[in-house]
Amino acid sequence: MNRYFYYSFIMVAMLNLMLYVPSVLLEERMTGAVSSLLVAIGLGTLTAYAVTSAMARYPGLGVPEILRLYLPEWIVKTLLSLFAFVFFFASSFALVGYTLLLNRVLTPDLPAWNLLLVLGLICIYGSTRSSMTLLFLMEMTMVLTIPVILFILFKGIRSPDVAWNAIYTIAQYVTVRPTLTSVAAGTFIFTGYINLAIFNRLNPPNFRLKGRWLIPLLGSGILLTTFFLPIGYHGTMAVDRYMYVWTQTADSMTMSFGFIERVLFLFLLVYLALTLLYTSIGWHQAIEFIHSLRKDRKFEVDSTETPASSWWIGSIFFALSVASMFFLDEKLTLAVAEIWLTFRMFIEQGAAALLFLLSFKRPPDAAKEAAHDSA
Amino acid sequence: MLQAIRERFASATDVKTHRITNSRFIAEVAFIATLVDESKVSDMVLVPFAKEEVPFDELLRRNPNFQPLDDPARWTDSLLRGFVLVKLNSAIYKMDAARIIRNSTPETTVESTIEGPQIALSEDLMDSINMIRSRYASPDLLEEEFTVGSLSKTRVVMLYDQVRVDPAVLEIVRLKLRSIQTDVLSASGQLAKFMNDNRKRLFPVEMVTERSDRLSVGLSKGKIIVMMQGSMFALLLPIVFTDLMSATEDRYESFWTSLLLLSLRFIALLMTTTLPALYIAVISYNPELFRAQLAFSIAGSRASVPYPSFIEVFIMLFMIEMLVEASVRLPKYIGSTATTVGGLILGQAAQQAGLVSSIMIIVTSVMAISNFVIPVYSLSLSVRFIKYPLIALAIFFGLPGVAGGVFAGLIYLCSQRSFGKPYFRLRLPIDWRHADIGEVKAE
Repeated sequence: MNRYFYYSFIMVAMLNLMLYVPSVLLEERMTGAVSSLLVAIGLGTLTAYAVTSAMARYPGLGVPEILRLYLPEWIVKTLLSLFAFVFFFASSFALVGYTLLLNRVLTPDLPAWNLLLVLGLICIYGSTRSSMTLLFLMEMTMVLTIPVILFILFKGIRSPDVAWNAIYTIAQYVTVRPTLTSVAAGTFIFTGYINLAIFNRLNPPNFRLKGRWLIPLLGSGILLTTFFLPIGYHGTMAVDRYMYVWTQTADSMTMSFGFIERVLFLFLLVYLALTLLYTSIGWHQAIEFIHSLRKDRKFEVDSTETPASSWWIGSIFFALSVASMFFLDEKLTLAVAEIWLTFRMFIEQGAAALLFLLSFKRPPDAAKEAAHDSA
Repeated sequence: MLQAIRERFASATDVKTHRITNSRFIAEVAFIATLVDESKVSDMVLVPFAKEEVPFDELLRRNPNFQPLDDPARWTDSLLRGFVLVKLNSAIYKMDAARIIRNSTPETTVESTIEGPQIALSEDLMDSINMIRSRYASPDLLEEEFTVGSLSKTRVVMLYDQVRVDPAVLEIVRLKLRSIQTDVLSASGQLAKFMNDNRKRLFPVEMVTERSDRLSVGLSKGKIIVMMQGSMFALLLPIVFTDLMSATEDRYESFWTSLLLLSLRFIALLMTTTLPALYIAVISYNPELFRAQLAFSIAGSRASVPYPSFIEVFIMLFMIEMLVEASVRLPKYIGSTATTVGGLILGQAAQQAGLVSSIMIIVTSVMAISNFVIPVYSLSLSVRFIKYPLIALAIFFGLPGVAGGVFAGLIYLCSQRSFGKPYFRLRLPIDWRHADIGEVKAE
């Protein structure tokens, strides 16, 4: 189904406002971030196209099943563990990062681990549901949050407080050569397609992804807003003095007639929903990757009973997140984020290239049979 | 036959067994006098037998009211259901002569509408089926009968449109109905509970309704009706969550009116679940959420209240829940007194005594009224429950706790299935060229 793909794309793209992408980009705003954005838009679109057309050839199969068609078992196992780790790390990192932010901004009188406890438990509950449930959940959450996000963005862009001169000034640094970290941060906006890795299992055989031109359109729109709007609010120099630049940007907007005056609260609640959704989906996929390490395991997209192993893996993820909370602070998180964004880009591009190449190989008879069986 | 029946019902005085004779035949008749309509027995059996206008053996064979009953094991069952057993020339026939006491003029009382049909289902199964069949005059309407309850032996009937029904759902429902194990089945709600996998379910996954128009529309959408003898409520399944939020009138009014009413109900649903929790979270954790003037006026109204916000909420919730419960259970005449007294206390007195703030009184009444907006009673009960977990989250975690709790509720709703079908899902116009997600399941 088309719309589910775009929900996941928009979810990941939107989430980056809150994660470390703007911080990384804004830090290099005069040393190559602007041209990196352009490179990232091209690269991200290209990867998204490659992955979606590769996955479209295997409706009803997830990445574990596709890899098993072509590659020897030990490579598959290595890759699957790597992917599981990537999904786990990305979502746990978002959860921990958001908890720190929320604790700093909204509930400074609560200890941070207290907040992580309740959010993490909700994520365990979400991630152990079936894939089908998570797609419904994604749809519901996105339908509820997108209007609010659009409202915030609209309010941001139309505000008289935006200094367009500052934005033009920064845009003129487009001639500086792009840098690796900025490109890596920029491509993160486009990574919504990776959720096809597991959720492709739910696509029916006659599935065709339509409207792929939306990918560069939405992606570049969100990316440019992420980067330029804070500059418009805070000015060319002051913009990198903030830890959570988008939270401060949202706090710079007011709803003068609403009984909630500060847009910040809307922003925080919406991003709470997005983070919980992103983490649930990420953990769920990591759990599914770990499950499919066993070759003979048959996946189920709509099981009514949760296997006990899901609960265990989810609890381990949760424990690791809580543990990381004890030595992570904002400074360290930002440093980790930069390395992580780059590392992730290489893995993702590699996986995308691998899948794209595999999709050109004539599927062995087993593949046809598998596709036929699932039909 | 009479011997066997007398042995079976040794001490029952209302079991009548007669041996009657006319010029040609000797017949045996058995029935339970308290269960049958005796005029029917005499009209159909005793008088024709005595008058001998038609040979009685031919009458038994030709009259479709008489059905052969060969299996002796089913004699007791048939008698207990109000059948008359007639034995003639070693052949045994049964005839339905049941006299059923029921509510005479059924009118909709639980789900009332202003302009919709005013007639409700009857407590007699046959009358109810009559109502549905007359509204859904289609030869595709099929009826299957089950018996539930080892002692009550309640007749349960399943109705569906054989063309439109989903065979997978049908199979699940059949299996569930056959596997129910209970002694006495007395109400549709109980039947619904038995048909659920999960007895601890929070939200109803089937609709309990008394409206025949709702049922006939349901049939046309491929849903299944399960009805039982002795209850004027039928079960409609499978359903989606939005079905529970829609009143029948939504279909009878203009588009914009219905849209307004439907969105009103969803807003009410959100308010009744979250308002008390939000009150606690905002007062105790984030008073800066509201604009300054509003925050001040809330703080001002709380000036005389000597304890934290959650105790205030508990006091008011306790009172309002008692009031609601009392007005439901009490006889009508005392009920109005109870609400008046309760209204007095909840209204001014509690606030003037400094027990609760005036804002809290508004919150409580908005919450209660919003709860009454929900059109289906079983859903409004579930909704009454789910605000308590949210309050607990608000006490310990503040605003993020409430938002997280609402999100967890969303996960819960999305993970529900109504007889194998998705329960909580956005329904968009379906593109028939493409299959739905997850429709093709891997083996």
